[in-house]
Amino acid sequence: MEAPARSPGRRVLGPLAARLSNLLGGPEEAPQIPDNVADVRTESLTVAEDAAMHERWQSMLKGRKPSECSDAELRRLVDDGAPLKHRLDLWVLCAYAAVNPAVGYCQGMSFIAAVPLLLAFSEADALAALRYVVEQVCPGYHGASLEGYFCDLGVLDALTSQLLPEVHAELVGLDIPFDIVYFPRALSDSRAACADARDVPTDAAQRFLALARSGISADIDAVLQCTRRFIPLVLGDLGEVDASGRATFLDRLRAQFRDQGAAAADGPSASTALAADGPAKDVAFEPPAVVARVTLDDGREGLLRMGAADVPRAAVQRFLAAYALDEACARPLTEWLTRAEANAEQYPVRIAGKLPEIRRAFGHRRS
Amino acid sequence: MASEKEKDQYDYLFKFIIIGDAGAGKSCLLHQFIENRYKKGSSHTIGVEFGSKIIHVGGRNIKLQIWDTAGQERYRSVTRSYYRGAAGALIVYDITNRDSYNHLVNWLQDARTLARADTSIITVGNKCDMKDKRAVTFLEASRCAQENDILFLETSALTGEGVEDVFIKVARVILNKIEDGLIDPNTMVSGTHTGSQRIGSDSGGEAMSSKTCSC
Repeated sequence: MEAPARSPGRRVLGPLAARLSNLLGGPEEAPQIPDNVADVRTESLTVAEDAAMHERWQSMLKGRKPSECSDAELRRLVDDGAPLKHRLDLWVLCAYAAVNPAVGYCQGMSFIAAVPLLLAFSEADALAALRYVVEQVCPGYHGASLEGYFCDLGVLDALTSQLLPEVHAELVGLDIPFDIVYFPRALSDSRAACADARDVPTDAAQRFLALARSGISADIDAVLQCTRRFIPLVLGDLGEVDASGRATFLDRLRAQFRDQGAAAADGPSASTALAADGPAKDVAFEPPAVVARVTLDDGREGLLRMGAADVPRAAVQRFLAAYALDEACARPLTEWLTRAEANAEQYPVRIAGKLPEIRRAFGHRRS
Repeated sequence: MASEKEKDQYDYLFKFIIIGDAGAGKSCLLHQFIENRYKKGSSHTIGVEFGSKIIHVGGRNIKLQIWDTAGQERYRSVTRSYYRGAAGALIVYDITNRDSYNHLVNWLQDARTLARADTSIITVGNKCDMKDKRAVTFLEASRCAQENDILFLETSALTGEGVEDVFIKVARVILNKIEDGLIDPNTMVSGTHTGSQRIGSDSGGEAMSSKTCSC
């Protein structure tokens, strides 16, 4: 498809263009920003101009899709410029679907791709920006099964349950799917930026830059920032943390939830699964947070294991199911595990106890 | 004129979900219902958006909490978790798009398996203002609804035709189920809740209060 004819328009702010260029430019696909940005001829339009352009297209299309028009008609349309909607649809989103058919088009992409266009970048730059965000910042978020999204959702859910248990418990108690909380921060940030862009472009640019820079992991980073001391405890060995103290940890957690993300397409959401069963109960979590040996009433010895990204309640539920124990044991065991972890100085925590004594010690406590 | 506090009072809270193929007009339908006007230049929904409105049905003030879902196939794995506990489900198709109608059975199956067995379901043929492009007849869709034991109405989110009727019709059916003892409004899982405070006297028209938020 030929590039659309360019018409004179707004100029890109120099520093903004440079920042966006630096941010979005991968080694192979740096957006073409001239040295002298004052010379840039762009197609940035005001809302009124865009509306007028849209009306012109509508009157010429007469209810048809652009793909139903003849080449000559299309040429006449394009030569005088295209409204934002069609620039997005025809030259950015369709182009992306052609470039990466495995991902294709996903609802929400337009909110990402519209921002560079609104900021007066070309369609090629908008496509590069979209590729960067979709493939580098949020890998797997927009594919057919949204596996990257579910993976990070699982990670964030587990982190929240571990680090902000009150918040997590409240969400579970209210029966709120965790992704409803997560969605606005993840995919919709770009939408909010887009919505604001028409009114406050610089603000939109900042928000877009923030999204592109830290991406979806901003949420996770925020949790980690508040709980930095938790990282070495989970990892057990600080030496395994990379220079930033982040990648190894996240990679490990993401690996644990990758399978669960894929499975989410066939069952309840990752958050629901976590709330009910704890994270991926068949997955052996490394390293464990708590390993508890419990002597049961009949003298058998049971192994109660809670993973690093697990929660006490879920671990206990699995334990009860595995050893066919009464639900009445749930609260004392959960309290016991919680207390042990709270008093831990290093992970994994190794404890042992007899079920009758645990019941006596923790049975009367309020959960 | 009722105060803001009074406006927020209601007898029951019903959770509704709006499902259907992408581009059927789900968000516009919701917007028309909440705001009483057409949402021009509506964009694709990501995940879920919400709207709420208090309507007056059968002498009761009923707050509808409406979950508007993304229709694209790949979002189904996300939106499936939103069905749980819905007392009412609106399955929207586009009368000018045969495919969106053909997929109705899939959406119906999702609603029945993921919401609850006795969820009150209505199928909504939207864009009925586009008569010259109609690809699904009223009779055909009506018969399909009868066969599947669900309600049916045609609407135009553009003109507002039939939009309020859809929500009121479903709310009335649910209210009847409550009054017949088929649904316990006090159970969270039923998708219906009783309001915290009852208004002393019924006042106002059908629509008393509304607000939207997006997520």
